[in-house]
Order: sequence, then structure tokens, then C-alpha cells
Amino acid sequence: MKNLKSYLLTGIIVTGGLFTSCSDDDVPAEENEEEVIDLVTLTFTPQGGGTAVVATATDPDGEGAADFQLQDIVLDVSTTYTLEVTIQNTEEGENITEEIEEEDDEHLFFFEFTNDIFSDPSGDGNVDNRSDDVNYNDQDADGNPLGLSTTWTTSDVTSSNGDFRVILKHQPGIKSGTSTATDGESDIDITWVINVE
Amino acid sequence: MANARIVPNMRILSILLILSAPFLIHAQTPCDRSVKGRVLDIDTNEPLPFATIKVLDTNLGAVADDQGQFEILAICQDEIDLEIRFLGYKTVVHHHDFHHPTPIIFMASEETLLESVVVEQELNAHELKTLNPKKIDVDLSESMGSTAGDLLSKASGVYTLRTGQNIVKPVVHGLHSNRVLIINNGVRHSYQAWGSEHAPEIDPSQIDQIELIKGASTVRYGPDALGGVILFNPELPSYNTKLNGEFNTGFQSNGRAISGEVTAQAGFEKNAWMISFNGTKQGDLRAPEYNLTNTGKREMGYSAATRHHFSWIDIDLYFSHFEQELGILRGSVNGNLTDLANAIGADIPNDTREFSYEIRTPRQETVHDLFKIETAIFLGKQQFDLQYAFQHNERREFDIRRGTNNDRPAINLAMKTHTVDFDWDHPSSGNWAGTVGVQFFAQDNDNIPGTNTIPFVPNYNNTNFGMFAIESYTKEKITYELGVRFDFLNMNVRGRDSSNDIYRDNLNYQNFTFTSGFIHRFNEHISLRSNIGTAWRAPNINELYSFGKHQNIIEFGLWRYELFPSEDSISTAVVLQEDQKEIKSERGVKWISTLDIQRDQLSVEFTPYINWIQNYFFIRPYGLTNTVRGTFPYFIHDQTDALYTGVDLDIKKTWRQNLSSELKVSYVYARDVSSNQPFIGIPPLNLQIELIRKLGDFTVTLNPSWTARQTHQPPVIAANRFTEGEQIEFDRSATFDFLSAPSAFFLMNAAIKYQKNNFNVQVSAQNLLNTSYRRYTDQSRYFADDLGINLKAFISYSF
Repeated sequence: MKNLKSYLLTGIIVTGGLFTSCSDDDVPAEENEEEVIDLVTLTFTPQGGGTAVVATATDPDGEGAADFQLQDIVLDVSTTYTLEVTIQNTEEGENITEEIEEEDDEHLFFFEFTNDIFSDPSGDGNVDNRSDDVNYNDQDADGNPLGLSTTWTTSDVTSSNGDFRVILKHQPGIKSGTSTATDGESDIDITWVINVE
Repeated sequence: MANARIVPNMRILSILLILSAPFLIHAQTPCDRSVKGRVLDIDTNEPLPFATIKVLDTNLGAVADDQGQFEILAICQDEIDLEIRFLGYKTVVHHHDFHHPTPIIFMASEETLLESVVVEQELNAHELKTLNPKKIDVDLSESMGSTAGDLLSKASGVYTLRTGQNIVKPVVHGLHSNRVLIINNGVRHSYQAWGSEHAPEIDPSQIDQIELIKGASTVRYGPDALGGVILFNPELPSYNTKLNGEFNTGFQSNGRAISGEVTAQAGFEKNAWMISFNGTKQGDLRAPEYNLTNTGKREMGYSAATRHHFSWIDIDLYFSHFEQELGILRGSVNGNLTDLANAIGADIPNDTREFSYEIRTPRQETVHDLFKIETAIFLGKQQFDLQYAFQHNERREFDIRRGTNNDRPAINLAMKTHTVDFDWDHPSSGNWAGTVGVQFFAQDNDNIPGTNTIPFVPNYNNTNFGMFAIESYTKEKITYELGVRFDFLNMNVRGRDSSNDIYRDNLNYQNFTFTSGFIHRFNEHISLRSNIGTAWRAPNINELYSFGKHQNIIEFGLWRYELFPSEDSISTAVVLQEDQKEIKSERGVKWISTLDIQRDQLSVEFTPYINWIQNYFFIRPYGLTNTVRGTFPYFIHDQTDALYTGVDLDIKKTWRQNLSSELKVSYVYARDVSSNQPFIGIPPLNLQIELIRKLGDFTVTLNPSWTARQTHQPPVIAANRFTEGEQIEFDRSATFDFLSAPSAFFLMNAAIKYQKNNFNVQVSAQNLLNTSYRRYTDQSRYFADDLGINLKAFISYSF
């Protein structure tokens, strides 16, 4: 048993030496969080001229547990607006709108809103049914709509606390004239509160 | 860094060798040596009575008795060559020296392609005696193109945790990942064990035998063995065999897979070598009703082994390389809760396409290299085993991402591991026998830059030092066993939080573990084993530090969130340290008993067990977070106390000479004791039957199995309820699942083997009835059915 003791002792001493000798200290490299969209801006520009209506959604903590922050949309009755959507990663100073434009054959915006809040498009949008009316101003090389730019005419009746939902679907290889809001993954899915006054 | 660490390891080696010098004095050898052995038929394992055994260059010899046993006395030499002959069988010569254990000679008939081989019994028998390992011989026709986890699932008490077909982890008595220790080729397999979709990177073609230890044998093998230990053993070259080899090819209809393997080996009196090379290419698999798009895989592996025998030391060298590219079902990966609800509700998985061999995202790439030097030193009646191994492991996970990021891995980890194992079997004195050992394990894990996302887990180094002693005492029919172990584990962590700021920590864990048990051999047919053992493990890196989306959920490790119960709120803008939130290591006690009945025509093995685990790490849903990408459920890592209990039953019966059957039943019950609720993903009751009929050169096997529905499951809140505008209040202390456990299912597998001369041909079918089913323990069960019918063909040619 004397030998056993010396073995264990040696083991402990040698290993003890190892603990100090093998602590390396490399830290992971700083990575650009290119994934994260932390700012989505809706800009409603009235076609007859006038002040643009801007509504944002910000999510500073990304995948953290805190919710995002939204501004309400306030539009005038019986007015036609051009809606431009811009998407940014402010943390990295990255303009993701450009990426979407470059990959327009993989992306498609869908819209859902309180029924008849707009006179054109009428109805409740194309989330539930792709063929429902939405006025896209842009399209990809295959002639399918994209949705970074759309046109909206509000109804002549005021309304408050309506919903305006914007979904950006990433549909690589599956975007088509009939692909729907249930195909692919959501890059954006935000519901704003909309008031028409 | 790697070089710097080899040096101290060599220091251990040389010091231990120097220390062992006093033993290197050889005793004089009068003619009092003897050798015992047993001669068996390699095919049937039946004894071969009247086989003749001759000690070459002497007049000594013996004839085997009706049990195939022989003993030769009065041998003068230190080393001898034994020649074993039996009419109609291939003669074999075995080089034997008296430091080595009892040889068992397996004679091959002259008509078969097999060679006669000699196995030295219990060369590595440092196992706990009261935890009998279950041995599973693996046939290459099964292993080619399969996975290590699937091969093991033939045993009772073992299930598989899957992410589709390609990523398969073994589950032992309900536990998996860091709770099941995997020993590959005698070396603790070092990999990213933490993720449920991180399968051990073990080349199935290399596996010759699997040993499964269902008890908590941490004392012998080290931390993490709460559920059990799995040993994957490769084939090793044999001494005294002429140059031989095999060409093997396998085909599978499902996935249109093709596999190939070439091996060659030769053995001389004191040296032997073996090399092998294999590869598999598989395309998209198919469920009965639809394709499983993006489920192809590529695998490639090679290995080389040499063995060197000297009078007092055996040296084995081994190197293996294995790389995989594994496709993950396209329709199983999705975005926010709406996408999840859509994917769960889809009749066929999203983005299902025509068959293709192409592997796109999501996919995984892994590489695993193993280099090992194993020595066994025989000094008098003592045996020392000293082993050093180096492992290199890479893991890259490609998610579906925008633009050029799609070609970048979202997780890219490299791990280097050094292990040193030293065991000493002290000579049995009287009724005592025992082993003392020291184990050292150093793991360096780094994130490889260029993922364009903040690493999900930090860089970390794990250093583990353990020492153990196991002693057994045998008196007549009863053997008692007692073991103790001490472990010290250091974890050094360097990571970046969500704003890219650096955090560090240095954590130490130490634990004593114990084992005790007995074997009572009532008579030659009946024995009872019982063992109670403790086990522990430190928290996994993800359990402390994970942050963000992984697979389909957002999760936060224990030190990445803070709860404020009074305000019912949570903050995830923190990286905590030990003094802010103490995290205790997980500790388990497992009591397992096996009643073993062995009769000529019937054998029964009945194994009940109970496993109590304190500070059990688990993940539970905590809330919903609204992000720009929509609403996501998020989960937090937490600790509780858990109870796992169950039974395994295994009955083998030989009906006639050529007809035998086996019944295997496994049942496990598990509960979160603190919150009094079930866990998600506990394997349901399972029954397997195997019928084997031999007809001349043909062997026909039928393998029906039935898996029950798991009724012991948490409440279900269907994913679409969250998205249909319903306000759902869920109890934050209670867990829930998005989908109810799948229905019970019945599967039929069948196989026909034909063997003649140098050819071995097998045809088999899995899911012969093309049944649509889903497994409760498959992560893909939310989205797609499991595999439909698969016809396999295997052709082997030996030279």
C-alpha cells in the first residue's frame, strides 16, 4: 500500500501543476450581430403633399425577454399614402432594407388590418388569403410583389384602436405568385395600433 | 497551447513509469506454470469437446473436456505458443504469456469465412462487478449507414433522443446527454454533449461491441454517469492472423443511401495492425406519405490500430478520424410562434421538395479525431494500465439565415481534449480484489470567429482530476463491493454578453462519490446483483450561460436571467456570478438490481431501478416575448429534484435447435418532485420481440415492436392558441408542451442473412408495414412523421 500512496501523491502533485499551467485565457472574438433587426420604421407619405406619418418599432434587447416598443400610427381620413418600410440594425449601423431589396426573390411583405379601415385596398389584407387586395408598388425579377413600397387610401370614416400588422416572410426557394403568409419564416411580424382621424 | 499541454502529460507518464521500476524485477521461473482455457465454436458458442491443445516446442498438451475446458500444468517457459486443433475447424496458434489472463479460443469451421480467434478473458475487467455490463455485438450489416445511438437501442432500457433520423443520442433509463457517459474506445468521448441535437460523433462502422452499464458507475468512470455508461469498443487487430480483410457495401432504399467499407489486418506473434476506411452518402429520407426534405447525410471515417506485445508490457496505438455532414429536416426549423403553429399544423412539412442528395441549411458539420496510446503493464500478479488520449472535435451548425450569412455557421466550436487514465489492479489476496485509478481530463473549448452572431455559449476550459478505489470481497456465493471516488473540476469561462462586453468566471466543483453492492449466486442458474451508487455532474456550459435562440426556442441559462417574483418580472440584461446566484452541482443516487436466471433453454433478466437526482438541471417555459420577428416563447434553465424509476425485462428462449426468441420490455417513470409534475420527452413503455430461425445457410429474423403512448406528460397548450388572439395565462411554475404525445405504434422489421464461403449477403427491411408514426423522444415529432419503409442490402466479401 506504500506504493499506492506514492502513486496517488504523485498524481495529485503533477495534476496540481497542470491546473496552473493550462489555464488559457482566450476570449471569443467580437462578432457583428448581423442577424438582429432592432428598428422597423413605417413612413406614410401623403400623395397630395403634407407631413409624413412615421411609426417605429424598436427592440433594443433583441432576443432578450423584454418586449419591443411601438408608436401608434395616426392617419387622416380619405387620404392616399405611400408606405415605405425601412429595416435597420442600429447596433451595427446596418441597413437591412438594402439586403431585402437585393434578395427580393426570397422576401415578401404581407399586411393585415382592421376590416375596411382603408377604402383601397378594401377588406382586411392578404395574411389570411394571399389573393386579397394589397397595392404593391414594387416587384422582383419574376414579377412577384415585394412590399417595401405600397399604396394605401384611408376610408372616409374615422376609427380608433385598429390593428395594422406587417409581416415580412423569408421564403428562399418557395416565393411564388401563390406563396402565403404561412410559408417560410417571419423576419418581421409586428402589429401596430392604427387610428384614422 | 496544445503542445504546452502534452508536455506535462508526458511528465506524468515518465514519473509513473519510473515509479513502477521496482516491479520490473522478474522472478525466476521453475516449471510451475499452468494455463487454463476454453475452446468454443465461433458461430454457436457451443463448447468443442476433445479439441487438442499443444504447447509448441514441448511435449506438453491437453484435450478439452465436454465443456471445452482444458488445463496444462508444469510449464517451464515464461511465454508459450499454444496450438489448438479440432477436426473440420481452422487450426489456430496463440502466443500466450503468463501475465495475461485466461485465453478463450473461438474455432471457426473450415466452411465459414471467419478465422479462428483467441480472446483473452477480462483483460480490461476493471468494471464494477456488481454492475454487470450488457454486451451487444454489432454486426457491420446493421451499423453501416446507421448511427451509434440506434445500434444501442436494441438493448432494453435504452431509447433514442432524436432530431430526425440523422442526429441520434442514446437515452439510458430516461436520461441522456451529460447524464450518460460515453466511453469510445476506452476514452471518455469529449464532445458538445449539452445540446439535445448534438449527437456523439462516433463512427458506427467502427463499433464492434457496445457495453452498457445501467448503474451509476461514476466511481469507476468519472462525473456525468448519472444514468449510466456506454462503452463503444472497436474491433482490434488479433495477433497470429495472416493478412486478411473485407470489402463491405450497403444500400438503403430510403434515402437512396450507399455505404462502403474496406478493412485489412494482419497479426504476427508480437505485433498486429489493422486499417479501415468507410463512407456513406444518403439523400433525402421519406416518411410513408411524403419526402423529408433536407435529411441527407455524408459520413467519412478512417482508422488505424497497431498492437505490440512484449513480455511485460502491451502497447496499443489507435487513431481514428470521423467527419459528418448532417441535414436537418427543412420543415422542422421555423421562426416565431405563428411560424411554429403553422409548422405544427402543416399536413406535410413546410418546403417539402422532390428527392435530392443536396444538403442545404439547416445542417451540421462535425469532425472528431482520436489518438490513443494504451499500455498494459504486467508485473508478477499485478496489472497496471496507463492510457493517454488526445481528441479533437469540431462542430459547425448552419441555420437558415439571410444572405451570405446562410453560408456561415451560426455555431462554430472547436474542442481539444487530453485524457490520462491510470489503473492499478492490485493482486487478489485471499478473497480481496481491487482497482485503484487516477483520471485526468483537460478540455479546451473555443468559439471559432466569423459566425456573425454573438456566441451562444462562451469559450471554456474544463479540467477534471479524479481518483478512485474499488475493492471487492468474495466469500463462497457472495461478492461484496465497495468503491469511493474524489473529483475536482475547474471550469474557466470567457464569453461575451448581448452587447459584446466580455464576462469571465472561474468555477470550482468537488465531489465525493460512492458505490456499494453485492452479487449473490444462489446456484449455477440464479444470481442477484444489487448496487447503490452516487453520481454527480457540474452544470453544463449552456445551463449557465446560454442566451438567445437555439433551435425553435429562446433560452436563458441560469446566470443570464434574474427573476423579480414580487413584480412578476424577469431581466435578461445580466451575466451573474456565483456569489450572486449559487448553482449547486447535480447529484444523484441510483439503486439498481438485476435478477438473472440462466437455464439451458431459457434466460431471464429482470432489472428494477430507482434514481433520485437533486439539483436536477432542466429547462422550463417562462413567458412570451414580443420581438420585431414576432412573438417567441422563452425558456429558462432551472434546477429541481427529480425521480426516475422503472424496470427492464429481457427473456430469451430457445424453442428448438434452430428457433429462438427474445422479448425485451422497458418502462420508465419520471417526475419533477419539487413541482410535482411530469417532464417532457420521457420515453414511453416499449416492447420488442425478436424471432430468429436458422435454415441451412440462411438466417431469418423477425422483429416486431410496440411503443405505447406516453400518458404521463405535462399539459398541452397548442401553439396556435397563442396566435389566434387568445389571451393565455399559463402558470409560470408549471411546464407545458405545444403538442400532445404521439399515439402508440407498432413496427415490424425483418431480415434474411445468407452466408457461404467468402460471401455474406443480407437483406433486411425496417418498418416493413410502412406505418406512419412519430416518436415522443424525437424533436422532429412536432413537424413530420418518422421514416417509412426502408429496404437494406448488405454484401460483404472477405479475403
